[in-house]
Amino acid sequence: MSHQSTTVQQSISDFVHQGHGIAGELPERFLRFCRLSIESKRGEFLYTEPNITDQLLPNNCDAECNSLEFGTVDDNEIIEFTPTPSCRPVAAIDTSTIRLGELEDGSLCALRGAVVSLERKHYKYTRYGPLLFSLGNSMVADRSLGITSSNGVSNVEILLRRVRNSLERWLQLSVTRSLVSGLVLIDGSLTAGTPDNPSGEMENLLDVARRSENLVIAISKNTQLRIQDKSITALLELNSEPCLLDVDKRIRRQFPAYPIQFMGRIFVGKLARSGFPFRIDVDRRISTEDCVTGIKQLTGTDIVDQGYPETLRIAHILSTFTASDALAIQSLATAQFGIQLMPKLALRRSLFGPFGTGWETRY
Amino acid sequence: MKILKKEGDSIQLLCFPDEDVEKGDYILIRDGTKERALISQIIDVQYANIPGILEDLLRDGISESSLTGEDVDPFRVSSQLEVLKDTRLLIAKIRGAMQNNRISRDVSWLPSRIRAHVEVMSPNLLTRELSDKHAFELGSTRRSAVIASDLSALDGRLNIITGRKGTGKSHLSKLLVTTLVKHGAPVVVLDVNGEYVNLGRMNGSTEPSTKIVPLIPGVNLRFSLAEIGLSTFLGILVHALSLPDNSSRVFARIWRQLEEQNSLTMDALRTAIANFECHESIKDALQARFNTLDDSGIFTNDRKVALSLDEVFRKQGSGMALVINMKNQPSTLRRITVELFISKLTDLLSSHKLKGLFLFAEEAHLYLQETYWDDIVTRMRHLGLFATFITNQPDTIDGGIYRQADNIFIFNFSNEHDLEIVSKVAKLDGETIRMIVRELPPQRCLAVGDLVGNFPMVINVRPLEVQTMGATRYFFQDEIAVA
Repeated sequence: MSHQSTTVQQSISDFVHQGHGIAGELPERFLRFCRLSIESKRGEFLYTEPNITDQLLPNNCDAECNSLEFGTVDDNEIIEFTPTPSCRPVAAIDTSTIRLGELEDGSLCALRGAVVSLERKHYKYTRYGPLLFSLGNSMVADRSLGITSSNGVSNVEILLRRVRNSLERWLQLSVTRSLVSGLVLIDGSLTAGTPDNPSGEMENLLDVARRSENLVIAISKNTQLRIQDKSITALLELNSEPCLLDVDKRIRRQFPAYPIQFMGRIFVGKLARSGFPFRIDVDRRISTEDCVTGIKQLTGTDIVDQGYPETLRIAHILSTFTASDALAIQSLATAQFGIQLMPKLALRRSLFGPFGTGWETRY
Repeated sequence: MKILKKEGDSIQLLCFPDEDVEKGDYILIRDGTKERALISQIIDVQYANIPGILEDLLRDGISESSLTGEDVDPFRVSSQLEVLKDTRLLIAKIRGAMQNNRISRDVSWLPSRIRAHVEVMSPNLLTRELSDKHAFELGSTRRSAVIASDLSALDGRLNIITGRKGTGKSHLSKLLVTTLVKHGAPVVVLDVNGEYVNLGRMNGSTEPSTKIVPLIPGVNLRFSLAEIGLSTFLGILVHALSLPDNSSRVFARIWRQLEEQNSLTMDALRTAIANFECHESIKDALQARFNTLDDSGIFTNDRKVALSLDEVFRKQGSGMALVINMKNQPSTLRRITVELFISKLTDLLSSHKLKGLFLFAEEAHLYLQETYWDDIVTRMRHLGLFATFITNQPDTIDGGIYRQADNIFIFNFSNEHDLEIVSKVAKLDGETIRMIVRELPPQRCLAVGDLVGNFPMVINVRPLEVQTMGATRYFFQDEIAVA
């Protein structure tokens, strides 16, 4: 056990101190894509909106969106647990995107990812980006990033989500490869099988994790799974102690086997006393007992304030774009790529003056 | 720098980290291609309110305390972010304009926000229109090694030097005194702390200068009754010693009788008061006041030791300072001395025996009657007595005097009450005074008025070559020096 602990500690220490960040050096394909896409827009106008922070995309969009039949939940089904301290390293990954304004054909966007690890009660991070790139409505899909057009129709929103997924998946995979016997936390779910989120990549991630005895745990802040218009997290509303409810079978049987694939066992979990309940997905091929053990170890190792792991919270904070980030990136686009900033025409304001609605009338 | 906003005479500018500006600096806002520019002075430097800065700083705070890590930033966006975070907001006041390279006060126009070019301005451009007939070095600014001014801007003017203790008021006052003397002007210093007496000695020298004449009341500052005259003597009795009207009329009669008998001496006065037939209360009042004056030692019957101001100024020729050293003297004697001196000087100026005179009064509230303030500021000014008041208690000078001051030098004040009083100066807005003055370091002052071309300037007062004394004395001097 002590030998394994030393190995575990060494492995996380090694990847933290690689010199190219926790997840390693950014693949050249990302940088090439960014440079090429933005170089092609040199000298173009970028139409910006004043309250750019309002445009921040939601961090995660679940593939599922359904109102479910659920029946009653027996108290015996709720697994109460006590946090168990462990030496398992914890690493969390999160990414964010932002649209900085509109180009003549498409948008100027930025992407940032963060990996946070917990080692000997000390948090370390590596932040990748911001990566600046443009996405066009008529853009040819970039196969090297796994970006393909959806039904032949290219759409900036879809493309942006895929670019982000691409970086996120690379970070998750790199971290999982570097860790041994660790807990890998990701933001969102382990649901795959959509064009944005191919099941092959998710399968590969979980496979790599299993080989290194890592446990991938996905925690979703906003789940689309609902029971009679209420989120499934409401099932644990009345419980105050740390507990888990396995809702996997009841949910899975209400979805067809194709195309959406639930690659994680779905729990509703409250990870801290009086904390918020979250949807938690754990690798399906791991036994329920091991899943519960992994979650107990997570809550005994990481700080779980308000029911949310600190590593994931920090990863979210570090990857999120602030308004000043947006200003800095716009300024860089001007200085390095000759993009000219122009305030976007406030159409509503032009038409309706003070009687319009929405942001345009405020500025 | 970029113009952000203008409201009234205030203008706000964004200033980027590589631009070096401070409070008090002047900037020139050139209006694109037109040959005109706004002259503005920075009165406050703040952080620019960048959107999202709170979130950024909180994030930085987290990563500085409990987190370590690194950023892989291939586009170097962080450098742009640092620029944003350190961008400052300058609050400036419009002071004038530059039209075809000439200073003008026409500021009714607005420069283009897009095409305006903002640059730091040398303060020498602002004082260059002062006459250089009596040029002297006042000090320096951050932007200019030498700020030259002209003494004519003190001539016929009312000046105030104020600031907290130990900030350098007396130093500036001494600089002005020695400069005036050097340029041939007569100066009188009312010195309550005895700190001007060595002004005549160059640093390292033991030889006193003949241009600085220290006078100690009762020692080498004594007057004969003939030199003083009835009106001056009576003035002292009434104003300095509060002699009632009835008694003053009796005293005038006694004086005239002795004058007619050609026997006007202190002894004769004492005897005449004792023997004069009048009401006992009047006699008592006169005797009490007379004894006070006699005990002061400031009057003498010996004409050889008596000081004749007329003769002193005539003999000395141009350029001299009489320093009335009133250190350790009781307040009554100070009041008598000052009353006597000012009265005598007024006589000399009225009779045109003196062309003009610069009076430097340190902490004047300690010896100057309230009735005299207005007199000095208005009537005596027309006669040629040009006062400079020096004080660390600004509320001891009447608000009306601040409004009339032609030059004012404000050293550091941090007390709100003091700042409120000095902000009544007519030549400058209160906001500028409050913003700049509270952060001035020692030996640096905000100069306002004719001496700086009516462009307020933050000036490091030039060091003096003469022995100054008067610097605040410390018990732990050695330790302070080492530190």
